[in-house]
Amino acid sequence: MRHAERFNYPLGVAAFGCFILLNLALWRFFFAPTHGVMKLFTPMYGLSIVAFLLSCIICLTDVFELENPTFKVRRGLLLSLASLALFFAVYYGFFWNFLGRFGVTYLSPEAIIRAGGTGAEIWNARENASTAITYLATAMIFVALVWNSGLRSWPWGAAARPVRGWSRFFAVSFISLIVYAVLFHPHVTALFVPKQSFAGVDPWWEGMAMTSSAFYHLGWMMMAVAVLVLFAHSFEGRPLSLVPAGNGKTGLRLALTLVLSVGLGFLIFWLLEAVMTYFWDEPFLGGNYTDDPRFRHLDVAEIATFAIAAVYLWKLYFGNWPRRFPALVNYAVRFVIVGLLTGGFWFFYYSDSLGPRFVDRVPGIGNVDDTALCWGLMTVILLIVHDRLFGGWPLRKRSLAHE
Amino acid sequence: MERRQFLKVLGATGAAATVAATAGFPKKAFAKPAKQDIGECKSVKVTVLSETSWFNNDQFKKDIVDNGGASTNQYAVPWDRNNSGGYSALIEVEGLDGKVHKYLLDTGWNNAWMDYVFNRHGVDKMLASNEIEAFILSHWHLDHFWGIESTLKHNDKIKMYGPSTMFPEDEVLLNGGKHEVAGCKNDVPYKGELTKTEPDQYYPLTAGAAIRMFDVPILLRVRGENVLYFNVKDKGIVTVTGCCHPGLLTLYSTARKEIEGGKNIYGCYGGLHISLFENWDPKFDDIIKGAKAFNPTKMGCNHCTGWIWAENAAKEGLPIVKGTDTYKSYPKQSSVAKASNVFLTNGDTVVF
Repeated sequence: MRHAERFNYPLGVAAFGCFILLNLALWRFFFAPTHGVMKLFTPMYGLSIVAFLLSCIICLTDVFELENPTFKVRRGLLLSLASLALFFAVYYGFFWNFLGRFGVTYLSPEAIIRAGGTGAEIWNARENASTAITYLATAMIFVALVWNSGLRSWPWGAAARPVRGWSRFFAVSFISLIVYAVLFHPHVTALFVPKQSFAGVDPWWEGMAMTSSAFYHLGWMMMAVAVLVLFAHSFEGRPLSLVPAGNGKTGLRLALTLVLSVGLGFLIFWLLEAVMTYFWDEPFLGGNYTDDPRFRHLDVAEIATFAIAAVYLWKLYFGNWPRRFPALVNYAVRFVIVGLLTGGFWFFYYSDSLGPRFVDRVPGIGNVDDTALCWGLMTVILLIVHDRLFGGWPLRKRSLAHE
Repeated sequence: MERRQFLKVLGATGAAATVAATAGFPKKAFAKPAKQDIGECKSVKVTVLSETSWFNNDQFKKDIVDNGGASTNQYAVPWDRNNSGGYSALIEVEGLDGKVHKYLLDTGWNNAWMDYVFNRHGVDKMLASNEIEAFILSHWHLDHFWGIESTLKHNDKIKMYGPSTMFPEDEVLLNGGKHEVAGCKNDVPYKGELTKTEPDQYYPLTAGAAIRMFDVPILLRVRGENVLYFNVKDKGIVTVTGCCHPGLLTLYSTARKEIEGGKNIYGCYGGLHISLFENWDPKFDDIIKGAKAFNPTKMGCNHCTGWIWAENAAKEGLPIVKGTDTYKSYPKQSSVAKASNVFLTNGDTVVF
């Protein structure tokens, strides 16, 4: 860790400035609904694009272990292109034009329109297909991170990297499908008229979630992901690293990972919703905007995404300061900083003055059609690409050179 | 040196966060106002002047999705002008003394369509003779506001209520301007007294009737909606809305919390903003179940409610008031109108 103690802060701040400019420019080009060029934030289409692209990057880094430890720009570019190629191949090739056409109608807008029926036109069809893909991506991200945190390469640790990668890919995909089927699929089948009751059960979580919407699962699951990211990057692997994978303790480590991520995910979810109730009063079934339990669950997912962005941002551009105190103090300080940055992101997006100006949004809070999740995930993608695909170049390279 | 610089950066970041936090910080829920006594009226009659804001739903959706989706700016969309109609309703409030007060809610979108509608119902004459006491704009959406010329040409000094959360483009149109891309214009500048309604405030109209503004973000870059609350003697609270973006159940819940006698929910009229794009979402099931909990007696709906939702709500036992076939005598009809008549359509009336 010596290199990080010599982290080049001025360069970090400069890189942070570039990141802000790039972020706002990309948002303006691809997503901004009024002043943008592509205007992809419709909203679910844009959201599904960033969610699925993120799942592709996670697939490369956490499943196939393809990273950039030597900070080579060429490798960074190659990995970025590979992520994009994977995204296009699976999103448009596999989902829209293969699985959607020959298997699962709701994964392809064209197939939905061809099936006909009420409301089956391009907007509804694309939004519904995008909702399904967003949920699939969420399940994939969650399962991949849980596997990587809890099981590492088990049970293929001794195998070559490609074998490990492909084995883990199939295992993660299989479990993700089950997670998707139980937690998200009932929402997707309820998006059509008539409701596709023979394909999916009625949302079984309504009693506890005060809504039939699967935003409930999106909320706690994204928070569980945020907990794992916090452990990995702000807490340097603690507390999971206290139980090393292998040595007969793999089961214990997996259990610890699941209990801590899901348990803390739910706890933070509950605490944040309690804070929302303090400010906005009790939500109720069928309420709108801030009265809408669905919005509150979605807002937890947004906050979780901002927390993930905050963790990466602090690590990348501010060298994960501090590093010189006892480990627990370092972690505590970083935790507070990540919390403050998360709040900063939230207030930036929902500010009546900054949000409309910089992210082209309608002022006000509680509109699920204007969810911060899309911008939040795009931000996370930029940070992960810089941190893991480019190895933090040139920040870490320069820091190492100082030694 | 590095550390000092770093601390400076940290300070700057903190300052930026503070600046970012200056607006939009949520208010504490239990800082509640005292209950409003809006009085009582004998009855409320609503005439549906026009609820067909657009005639071809698919074309309307295409215009939106081709130009940036739900959050795009309505003034930046080159709307299909042949598809525009408008939303407007005539409200007659009978006081306990028997006197009737008339109000115009919204003024539609397409001026030619609204001229036809106002003429058909004699609203043009009521406006000219000041028989209509005030014009209440629910919100600044195109289909509720852009037909402003049709109202002002008969009375450019009429008392008007509009949400204070208007955008500069709205101001331009109200004051006699035009927007080329969107295809809207107003040749009659407004010269009357505009009351810009503030969030969470009540504006009494007459005994038993008041406007309350809800500051909510709305699709197509609009913000804030005025809702009409009526307290009908021996019946209870009735809400009349343009689009009901804040949500019907939020309106009912607000009445219970803030209005004297608000515990008795009687009914509603208006667009309820649910399955307007003829789609479905688990959330719409939530609204049906939630509405049942308020036990309303009479629900009149149309416009952005969505026929599908109204049909499902009626099927689930909600007291949806059926409309008639009067709308078929209008020169244009909505592409999504159905024989189930679960909408109060153009030309229908409902009395609470």
